[in-house]
Amino acid sequence: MSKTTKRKSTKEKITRPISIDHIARIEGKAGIEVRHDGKTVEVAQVNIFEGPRYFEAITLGKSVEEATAVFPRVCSFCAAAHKITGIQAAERAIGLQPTKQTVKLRELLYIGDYLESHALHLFLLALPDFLDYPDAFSMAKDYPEILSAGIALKDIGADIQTIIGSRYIHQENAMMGGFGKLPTKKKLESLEIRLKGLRNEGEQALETLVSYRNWPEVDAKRLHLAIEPFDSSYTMLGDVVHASDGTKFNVDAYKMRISEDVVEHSFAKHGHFNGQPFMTGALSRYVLFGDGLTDRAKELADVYVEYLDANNPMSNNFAQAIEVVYYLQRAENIIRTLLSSYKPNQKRIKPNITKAGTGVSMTEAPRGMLAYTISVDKNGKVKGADIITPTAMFLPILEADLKRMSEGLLQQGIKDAKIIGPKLETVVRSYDPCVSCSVHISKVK
Amino acid sequence: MTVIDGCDGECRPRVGVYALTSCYGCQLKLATVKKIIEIANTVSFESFYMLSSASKPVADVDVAFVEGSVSTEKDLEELFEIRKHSRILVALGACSVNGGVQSWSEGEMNHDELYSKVYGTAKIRMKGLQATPISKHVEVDYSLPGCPPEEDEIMYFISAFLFGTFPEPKDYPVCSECRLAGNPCILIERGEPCLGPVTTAGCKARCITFNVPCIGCRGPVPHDTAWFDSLAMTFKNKGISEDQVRERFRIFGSHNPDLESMLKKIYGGSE
Repeated sequence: MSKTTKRKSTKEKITRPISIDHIARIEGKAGIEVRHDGKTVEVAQVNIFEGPRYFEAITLGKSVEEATAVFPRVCSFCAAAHKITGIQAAERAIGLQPTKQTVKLRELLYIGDYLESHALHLFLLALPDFLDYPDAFSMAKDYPEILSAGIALKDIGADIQTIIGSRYIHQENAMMGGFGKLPTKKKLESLEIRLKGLRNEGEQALETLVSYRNWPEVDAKRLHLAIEPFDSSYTMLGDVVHASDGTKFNVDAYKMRISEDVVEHSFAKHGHFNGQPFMTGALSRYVLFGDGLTDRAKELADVYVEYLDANNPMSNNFAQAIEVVYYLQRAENIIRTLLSSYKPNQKRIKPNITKAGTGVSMTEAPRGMLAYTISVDKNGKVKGADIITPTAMFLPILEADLKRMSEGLLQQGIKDAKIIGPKLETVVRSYDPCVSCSVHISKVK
Repeated sequence: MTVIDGCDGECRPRVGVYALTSCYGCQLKLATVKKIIEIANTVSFESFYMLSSASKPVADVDVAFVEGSVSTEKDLEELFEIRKHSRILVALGACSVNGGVQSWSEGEMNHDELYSKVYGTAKIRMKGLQATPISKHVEVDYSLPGCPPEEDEIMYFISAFLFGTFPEPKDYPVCSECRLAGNPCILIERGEPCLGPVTTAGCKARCITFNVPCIGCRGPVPHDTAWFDSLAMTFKNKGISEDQVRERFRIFGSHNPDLESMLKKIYGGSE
């Protein structure tokens, strides 16, 4: 897949490109292009070929209820993340306050998304790199127990989403105001029992990953952004964004703080915070709010603290593995809380739209912060929408890491594109990018 | 056409799983069916970029699953190449079969307008296109509709395909499955804008079972077999306007040539 060709530039300087046409084992269609002169890297780009889908434009003038059903189609790996963030923004636009029970159920649905997405990423997409297989199918022949742990985790995540959301890809049951139907007590109880039985599987990814150290070539100080958990614990919902430079801002102001630019090598835009590239995702959440982890996840994070290095993007795999342990426990706790005062008839507050408004919501999707702004007119039609996805936010720093990685290897005398290429792909995968997500929507300012 | 016949017990059917412009949900569905490991042991995945780095850009295969709409020039070139190298080509999911949600504004905004609303005047090297279903460009041998497609339909297709046959495509609406599921009719009883009467069955009325009105993700039901008289007329009787039904119908059906004539059957019209 990688190829090297030599060509002479006008200045008689030899530049060698390394190009990967299609990065495998990620969500979406992207390639890598690196140009170097044997020592320094001139350009390191992630080329995004995934076609544009114009979500912001196609939903203009449409019913907001239908638009909130369409937005999650941005992405399948984090459809629930898009669904929940979108309906929160739409509810805020029309002044609808969901019940506490609805919010708890949404968080549980969101945890289902985390467990499924992290399990898919860690076991099917990332681990084959470290164990040296082209894919999970061939890995399964030698390590059946690793893959079956991954599948058990993916299954519980998918089943949580199916039971609460109607299916694990594009959950129609989650709507503005609440749900069409609530899971029965019995179904929640059986989920709780299954969650308890998955403790060993929950630790499998971490146990496998700790045999592999982060690559020093991508070590660099970096800025992290994450949303402060609403209850001071560790979770994906909240209203204030913290940056590792000590600044914070309310999510309502994200458009002022996070800018997006169009670059010509990608249908995905590039995000910056105060003009700087930044990281977002499991590692950033751990760096900023890891103190809120509890129980076994806290213990494991403390034991393996040196793997959770804020300066190395490959730590993101470890941070996701810790989150799997944490969210299995949190899901169990939420179910227990829900069942203690479950109101099976408290399904939905039907939206009643009487005046125009704009709502903002940000949440932590499995791969990083996701922002939605939705404006609605008094007839319930969408007047404007703005979505910034995690992948669009971290693309600039990911490109900087690819530059560091290839330069680091060149300086060690490693120049073969066949060796450098796969290593660059591994760095890309550690971010768990979602390319179809990144190719979206948002408005140019 | 029997794949296993030609193999004589020796070879494994070659399968390619490709994505054009989409959310990757159909591949994800295919990759997470319960028997995926058994399938992986039975067939040979020649190209499946989402799961394997041993993938070829375009491989000679017995069956190609294509997810996504044609939304860039590169998509179109790839689709032609895939067709050339595949014995059987299957459109996998709503984008591929019907153009997907990205076609919602079909006929309202052209590509230049869409582009400028999202990217302004900034230039991107690659050329985007108005989203279209793959059947507009190549011959499609079989379609698995749905956003995403249902696991039982994927499994039924793969099993039947191995023996050289296809499952009969469904030509009846979601309502028929909804009746079998024993659901009360949310269109009649609550006046919800449920597209069940005009949408292709196969989902076992999943959403309506959750009390959620159908948004038509499986696309308009073919061959004039919608339940016009018994249920679709209810739209009109419940005061749901033609525009409202059209808009909802178009989320997943804007490329369907029968859409307007179906609406006319429901709402009448000046011929």
